[in-house]
Amino acid sequence: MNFELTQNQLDAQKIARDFAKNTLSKDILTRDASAEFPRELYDEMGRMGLIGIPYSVEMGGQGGDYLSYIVSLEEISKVDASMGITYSVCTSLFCGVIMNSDLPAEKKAEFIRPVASGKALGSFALTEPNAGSDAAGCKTIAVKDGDEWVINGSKCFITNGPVSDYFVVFTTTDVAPGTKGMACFMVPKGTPGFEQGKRHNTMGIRSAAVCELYFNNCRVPEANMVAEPGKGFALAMKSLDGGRIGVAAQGLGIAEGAFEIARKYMVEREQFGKPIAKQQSLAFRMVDMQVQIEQAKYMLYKAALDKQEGRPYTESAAKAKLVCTDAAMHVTTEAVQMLGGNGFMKEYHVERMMRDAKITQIYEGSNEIQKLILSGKLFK
Amino acid sequence: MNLLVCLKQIPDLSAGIPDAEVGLRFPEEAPQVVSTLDGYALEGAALLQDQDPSCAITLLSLDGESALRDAFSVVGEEAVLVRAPSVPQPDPVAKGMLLAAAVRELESRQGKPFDLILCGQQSADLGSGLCGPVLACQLGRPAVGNVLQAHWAQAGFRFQCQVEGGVQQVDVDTPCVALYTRSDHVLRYPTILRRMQASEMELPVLDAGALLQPDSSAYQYERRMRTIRVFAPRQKADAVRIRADIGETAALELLSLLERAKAL
Repeated sequence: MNFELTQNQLDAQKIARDFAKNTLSKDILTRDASAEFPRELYDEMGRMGLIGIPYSVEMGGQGGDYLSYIVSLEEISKVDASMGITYSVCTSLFCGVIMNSDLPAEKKAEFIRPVASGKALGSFALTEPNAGSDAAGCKTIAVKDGDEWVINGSKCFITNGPVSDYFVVFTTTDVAPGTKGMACFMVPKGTPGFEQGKRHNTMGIRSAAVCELYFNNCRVPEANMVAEPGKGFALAMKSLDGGRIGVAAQGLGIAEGAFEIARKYMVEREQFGKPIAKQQSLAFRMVDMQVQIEQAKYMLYKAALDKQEGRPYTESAAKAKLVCTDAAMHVTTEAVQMLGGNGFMKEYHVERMMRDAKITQIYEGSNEIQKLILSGKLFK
Repeated sequence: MNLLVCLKQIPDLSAGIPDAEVGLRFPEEAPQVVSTLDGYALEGAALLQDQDPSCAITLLSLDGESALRDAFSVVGEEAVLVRAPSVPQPDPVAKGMLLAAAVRELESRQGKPFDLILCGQQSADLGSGLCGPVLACQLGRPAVGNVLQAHWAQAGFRFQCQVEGGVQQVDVDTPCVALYTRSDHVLRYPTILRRMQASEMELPVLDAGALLQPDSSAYQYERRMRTIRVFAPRQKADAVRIRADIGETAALELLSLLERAKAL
């Protein structure tokens, strides 16, 4: 079993790492404080081809492999978890929904190309105020009228919402109740009756743009249907399997970034006449984190390779998401502790990373939902 | 518009180990990179292509396969590797002659000269600054130094050049040579697709030694330049190196050191 990355994967990793270290890291504290979404940085990532790595050139992508995308996302998230989730939602969720659908190839290309080419952003709109973990409780409804569907309802916590040009929106329909009637539509920004609402003021990933969406007699042509009634729920769940590999990569990146800051600090910070890295109790805790990160990494890469090589990946994706995001929360909390009073200061970054880590245990299927999925498979 | 960018491959200077005899000694596995100012030249070519998308860029390097692939992953339509096995360890003067021979060959094949040849003012390792001027002299073309940026202006190029206390504008007819220096136009990042293409592409190889006229001085090969002595900067015993990667962290570290030293 070969655990080494291929040359293409190493190249993609280096490109993302250099960009994150030399460009993304600049003004990151300012962006976190102001919650400003850095469109020009996203555009540069688009130009570099990072957004469309796993999609074919015909689809507007780069023709690379899935693991190349995951290692790139990991590198971006080591420095800027906000950009990490922006990236993941565009590539894994929005593009993932389109690619997982039953649409013909030309239609898939038409819908995916603007986002996969990095020229536009996409969003995945499933969550509602009363439908979070219970996604089947969705109340936003689409009713057929002639050759159009009329959507009414609202969504919340939609990542990229304020800045996206394209939205895949999951709705119930009047065809059948609950998930049996769930459909999916591609709704472009600016469609009459569709409004991007107030931006959420979040604890972490503050420079990722997140908002509510409102649909008030929003008319969408039949041609924009991505999944017909009855197929929307399965499409959402399958796409979330891919999305959670992306979130796992984000979590792993956060953990690695915080770990490295703590490691460097501990080598230089001296107390009681020696670097604090020489204090065995602290060094042992760092080793625990190092091992935890490496375990998480291999679970993530296993899930990514399952997806890349066409094997079922629901289980490995759930495990990777669970392990990587728990690692993110644990490592960032410990990193703040290792830096002591300085860890509490914004300038040392680890407090920001700790705030960023929390949401990774919650979104795209909370870690409790991951355990539900895994226990369901374990005891079926 | 037809551009040629000359690139030198050097070891990553940050991997060098200080050595009293040679200045910096590099381990065998030291990563290889494009020389810094050649990177600015490459970005200069990319900016010209942004102005005129029909512009074609050819990349050229003497023994720098890795640098050529790195450069192609950023921009370029063609990349050519120059070798000169008959000219062992050429000095900068010989390198200029070998590159000129390669340029003449490429121009003969395409039936016209390159409108502009771009390269760095000097390399980041040796820094003689001789290779570019020798190349220009061998080709009989004007060379403009300290170039910050270039614009295509009908029959020629308009260069913004760094001078003491300001910027000078220089207009030159084609064909000519531009020697680039540091500017605000940092080399753009490569793209994923181009990186994959660069890794897999077959590089055409030109034997420049074979192209030289038999009576040329490079062919007869005699080193015109040799290093007599290296002066390494004196190491200060009480100097402290700030190692933080992120600017804000480094600034805080400096502040802390200055406070401890009661310098503030």
